Amino acid sequence: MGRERDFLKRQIWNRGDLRLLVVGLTFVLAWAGIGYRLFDLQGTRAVALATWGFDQRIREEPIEASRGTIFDRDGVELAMTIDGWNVVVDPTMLQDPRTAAAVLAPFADSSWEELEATLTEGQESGRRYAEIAMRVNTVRKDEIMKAVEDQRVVGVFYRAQPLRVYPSGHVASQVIGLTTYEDGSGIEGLERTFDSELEGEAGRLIVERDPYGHVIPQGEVLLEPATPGSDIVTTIDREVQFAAEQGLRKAVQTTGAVGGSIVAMDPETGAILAMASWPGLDLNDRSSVTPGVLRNRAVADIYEPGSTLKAVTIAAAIEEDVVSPNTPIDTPTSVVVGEFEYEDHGTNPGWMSVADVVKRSSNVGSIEIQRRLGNDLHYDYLTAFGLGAPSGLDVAGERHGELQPTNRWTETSGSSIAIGYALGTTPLQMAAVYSTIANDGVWVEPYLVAEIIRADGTRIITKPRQRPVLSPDTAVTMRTMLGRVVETDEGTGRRARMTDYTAGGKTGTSQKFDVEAQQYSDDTFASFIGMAPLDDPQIVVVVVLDTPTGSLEDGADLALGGASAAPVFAEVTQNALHQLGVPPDRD
Amino acid sequence: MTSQVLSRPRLRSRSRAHVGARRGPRVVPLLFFTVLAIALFFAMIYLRIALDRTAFELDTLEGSIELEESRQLDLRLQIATLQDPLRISSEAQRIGLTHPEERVAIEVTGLRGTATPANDDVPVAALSGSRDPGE
Repeated sequence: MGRERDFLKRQIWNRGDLRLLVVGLTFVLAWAGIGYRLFDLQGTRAVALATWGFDQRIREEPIEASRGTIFDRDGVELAMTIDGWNVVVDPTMLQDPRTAAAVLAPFADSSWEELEATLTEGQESGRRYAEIAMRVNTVRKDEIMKAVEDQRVVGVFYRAQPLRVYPSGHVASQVIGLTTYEDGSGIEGLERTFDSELEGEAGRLIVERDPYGHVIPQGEVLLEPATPGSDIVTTIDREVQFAAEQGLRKAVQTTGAVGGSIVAMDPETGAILAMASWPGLDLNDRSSVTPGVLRNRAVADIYEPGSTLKAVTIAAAIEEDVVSPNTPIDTPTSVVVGEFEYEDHGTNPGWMSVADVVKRSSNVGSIEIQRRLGNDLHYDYLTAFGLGAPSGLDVAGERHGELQPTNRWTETSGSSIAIGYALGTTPLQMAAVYSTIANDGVWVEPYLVAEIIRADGTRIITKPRQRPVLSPDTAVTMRTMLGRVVETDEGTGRRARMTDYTAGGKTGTSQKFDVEAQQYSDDTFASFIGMAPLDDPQIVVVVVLDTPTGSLEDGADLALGGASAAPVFAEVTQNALHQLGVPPDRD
Repeated sequence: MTSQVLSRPRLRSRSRAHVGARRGPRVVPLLFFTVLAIALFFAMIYLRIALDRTAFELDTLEGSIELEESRQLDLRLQIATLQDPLRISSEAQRIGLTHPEERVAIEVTGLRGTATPANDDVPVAALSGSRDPGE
């Protein structure tokens, strides 16, 4: 037995067994090393490495809410948002800036050399952001993505950047307004007034992405969807708006006016069909946005309405039975009230009926009627017609006009106001005044937004306020008298006569007050306000031109409303009624 | 030693017969579960691959949906732009259309009892709205 043990011991130490031992030891050491590395990676540094990898893949991306669309009354888009993208690069992730520049240069906003320099410099300095192409549409973005994937360029990212576009950029531009380039928030018009409704609520996406920007399937995903902005349906009729803008543009070119505005309104509902201002702009062309051009003159410009206000004075007097259309009124050529002398143009007969006072736009006759009415009643009707207070229109920048309370009236205030001076109004307020007459004496609050449609389907429908101001009989009487202004050859508004429709209205010419000189200048606001068809008005149109000059072929002075603004009313109103499908009422 | 060896064979041979009989049944279940385990393993891998492939397809589909929605927006924009009154007005002027200067009234039979012929002085071309470009 002992000899056997010795024999066995000697066998272990021969050369083959030694080699086996070395190899075995080597394997053990190798596996021990692997095991140690495993322990290090999966144990000691497991959390740190996993976190590092997770941070590389995880992207938290804000999801911009899609801004709501602004429609006209027929559902045509006036302002809408389409998908856009900003293509950016993380230079530190690029394997070769030169190759990346060669791939991206055809799509970039800069040249190949500039791009390569930018990417190289960014990589060297550790900067992690460089812009390639901003505000591109989805088709362009996909082209870029394909080129990047084909060339296996890593480090290119695509940020959603919605684009705000205006399909008819020049139509109702001051009404719609504008958004900022940076964050898309509204800065003018309806874009500003309804910014909180239009912008919606941003969401959040936390997702794992591969180096090419693709989402890793079955990776971590957390989605908080964005809430789209509400859509807004306006009362604007795009074709009527276009007709108004074309009429205004032509009038400004013909008369040399420095500006102007037109308001077209449905007298029964208060819906504003058109609201045009000159100068105009194209909302898609930011270079056309110059100071003041975004001002909505129909609500922001205050002017003294001149003779167009006589309708209020006379309507009030008829409603209070102070006068009737046939009441004779003494009309000398001029009358002195306090320190002022008021006169009529041309010679007057010794007396006129109230109807003739309207037809011939007699200042002296209007002052006499106001005297009979009295300041207090006069003021009551002025405010009942909505003057001196905001109309409540849902648009930014509306001014409420200027009307002093009677306790601040001077000896001449009543007379001046009777003929449209000593107070300030906006074209929109005057549209509401004449709409009251057209609507059988009921004042209706003007409005621009018919309804707001939220993302969840909720609809908020505008219900405008109404209040009776005149009796229907008085309203009809006024319409008849206003009809004589247009439909008779002696009327000052005869140039507002249309071929297809009967109309009634009032001319207005007021001198502009020079604030620096503190006196009235020779420049004028020329206006005409009318309604058509006369028997059942479907539309009220206000035309105001700022400082028209020149004369017509027959010598008529374009500074006067009857010469410059009345023809614009005829053209715009006839086009508008055709668009609205109103059958002609003139044989 | 020889006597010890000779005293065992009977016991050993009985044991060997029993062992052989026990070994036969153990191999089959072991083989079965091994094959099953391997099959399950491959099935799991296949399912995982299928899931990943489906996830990729879903992701691609979602991308397609987004693309089509984006195209729809672009098309809506295109339609609205084509309906722009200024564009239509410019095109109309370019092809020679003008505003009608004369309104022609056409009596429709039945509305007022008897038919009234259209104005004989007005050519049919004017009634249909077309105009001689030279006018």
